Amino acid sequence: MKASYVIKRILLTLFIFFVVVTLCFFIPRIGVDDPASRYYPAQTAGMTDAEYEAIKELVRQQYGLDGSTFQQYITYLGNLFTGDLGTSYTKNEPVIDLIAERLPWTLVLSVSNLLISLVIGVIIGTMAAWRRGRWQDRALLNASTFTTALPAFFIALILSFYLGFEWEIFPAYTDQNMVAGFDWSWEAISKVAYNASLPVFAMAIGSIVSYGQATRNSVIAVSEDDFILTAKAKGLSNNKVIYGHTLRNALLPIVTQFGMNVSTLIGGAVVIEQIFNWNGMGTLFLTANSNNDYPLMMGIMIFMSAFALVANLLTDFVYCLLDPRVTLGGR
Amino acid sequence: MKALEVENLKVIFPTEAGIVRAVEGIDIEIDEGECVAIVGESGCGKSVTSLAVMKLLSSPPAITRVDKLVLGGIDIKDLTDKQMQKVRGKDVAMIFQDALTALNPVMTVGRQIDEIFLAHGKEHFSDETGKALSRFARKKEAKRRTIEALKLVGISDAELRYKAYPHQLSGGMRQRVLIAMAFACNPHLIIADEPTTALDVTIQAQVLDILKELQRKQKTSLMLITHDLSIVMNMADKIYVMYCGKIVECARTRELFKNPLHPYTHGLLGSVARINDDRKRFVQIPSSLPSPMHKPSGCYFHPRCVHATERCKQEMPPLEQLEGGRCVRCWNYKEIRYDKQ
Repeated sequence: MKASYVIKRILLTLFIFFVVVTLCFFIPRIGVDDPASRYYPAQTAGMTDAEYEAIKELVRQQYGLDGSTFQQYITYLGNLFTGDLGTSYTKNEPVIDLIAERLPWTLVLSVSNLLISLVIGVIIGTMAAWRRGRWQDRALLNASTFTTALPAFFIALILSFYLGFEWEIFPAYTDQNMVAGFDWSWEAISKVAYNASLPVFAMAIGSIVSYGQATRNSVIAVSEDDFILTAKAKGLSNNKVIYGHTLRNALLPIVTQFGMNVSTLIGGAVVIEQIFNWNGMGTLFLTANSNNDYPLMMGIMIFMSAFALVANLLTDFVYCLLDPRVTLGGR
Repeated sequence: MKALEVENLKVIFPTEAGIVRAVEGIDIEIDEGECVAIVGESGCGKSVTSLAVMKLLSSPPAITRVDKLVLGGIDIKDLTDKQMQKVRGKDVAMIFQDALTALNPVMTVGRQIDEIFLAHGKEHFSDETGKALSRFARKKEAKRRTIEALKLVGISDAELRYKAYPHQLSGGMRQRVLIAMAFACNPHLIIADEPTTALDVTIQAQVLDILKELQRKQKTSLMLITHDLSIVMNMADKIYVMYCGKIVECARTRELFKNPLHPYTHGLLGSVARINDDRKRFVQIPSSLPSPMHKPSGCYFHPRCVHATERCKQEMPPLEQLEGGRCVRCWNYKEIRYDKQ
């Protein structure tokens, strides 16, 4: 991996980030002439036109909406450099604080989903490949037909209905005290795990099967390669052949899949969060959307895309470390 | 002691379309330090034979039966896969055809050779007092031996190459790595399956020289599997000619080249270019190898044989033992007179 390539990739990522910020800024402003009038609709009772204009002017000043759109854009970019994403219209708090408050709760769901599905998926996939054509393999194939046809939110609804409402095994709605009273005690942590079980399970079913299927195909493809025969001819034990040679090569495509999933860690659970009333980034975004809270929406979108860009960048670098044949940027 | 004794080896592959008889009862004997070539067209069962000797054919789909399989004095006929792991790499090693695909792309070549020492040399890895080495010291010792093995096959800068990945080496260099791998534990027998087919001609000669030199020096027996008679001429002491899963002729190399008895061998020799050759054109064996699922009746070679008689179409000739360890599978070998080549 060349240093010049790394720098080039980082610069490109920064450029893409700039484009994303620009789009995030202008797209919400298309079609709405004055965000202030959206925020303070004309119907606001008992006000003369002059009073209404004065209030709108006040609002504009307060939220940096005075001046032309281009001036606002420059101000926004400047603030972004200092880590200031603006102030939410509806909550009257800095956007960055709102995100920081919700982000850990989203990560609880998405990171546990990602790790669970990666570990279980790879184990199941390897087993299926090892017992190719036997019932374990066929079960995985059938499961994948099933889960590709069923979106995660549908599974979530079914789980919430049966396990949550009918049989009351797991909470169908998140206990809001979980967030307020969180103090890193054992009870608080186990409470989070209990509340997170259904949403994580709903998300994990699909991705376990998808990791499993990808691992299975990759392991089968690699185990037919010549160098596996060489490894056997050297007299290596079965474990050495599987872990030292087959899996090491078979997991390369899984790294790519994993990297792509890492980039959806923040934004991937909007619907699931909504179904289980989980107070994460997804519900924050939906509230911002329905209230026309532009700074909050933009802040979340920019944050998500920055996260995805960094994740992609890291995946490329990690892949390059794992596979010596990949010489990024040529010689 | 023989390096390898195989008696009545049979390999079949049952498929949905029918049974493929890849190897139909062949006997092979290789003396200590001898180089024996198995020659035949692609698809005649050469490679399956070599894998069967290593017991590396995966079953299913392959079904293997053999009356006797003795390797360097060890009867490996009934060994389990786990027991075979101790034999493979140590008593019998293999050199594969395409070194690029035969080496693990994400592991340095050095570590790939280390593995052999670490898998087999455990009991030999001890210090002066006879105490077993620690894990770390074993790895260091394996690395030392690997670099030695790389030097033995004429790889310059062995310390540097130790850290190279397969794709960073040239084709000839990779094939040398495979040879170093095979000779690592100084086995009784090395099976080389078309070791030079993937190389260009000049590199071919270099690689064959190294192979021959090492084989002579270490007194290893070599089973050379190839379709290229020009290689065989300089390397092999004895030649088995295979056709459709059966041995059709075996002889010392000189005798076979001087006086081929089977029409198929004669045909093969007719397609080799020789330096003192005043022929205008090569002789070609007409048609091609029959499908292993639908082999012809009688002698398998009769549809392509210009000397075939009515008997050849009906009955499979036996492998007739002649004096001097020769053998031939033909009804008419006494009558056929070949034109002087």
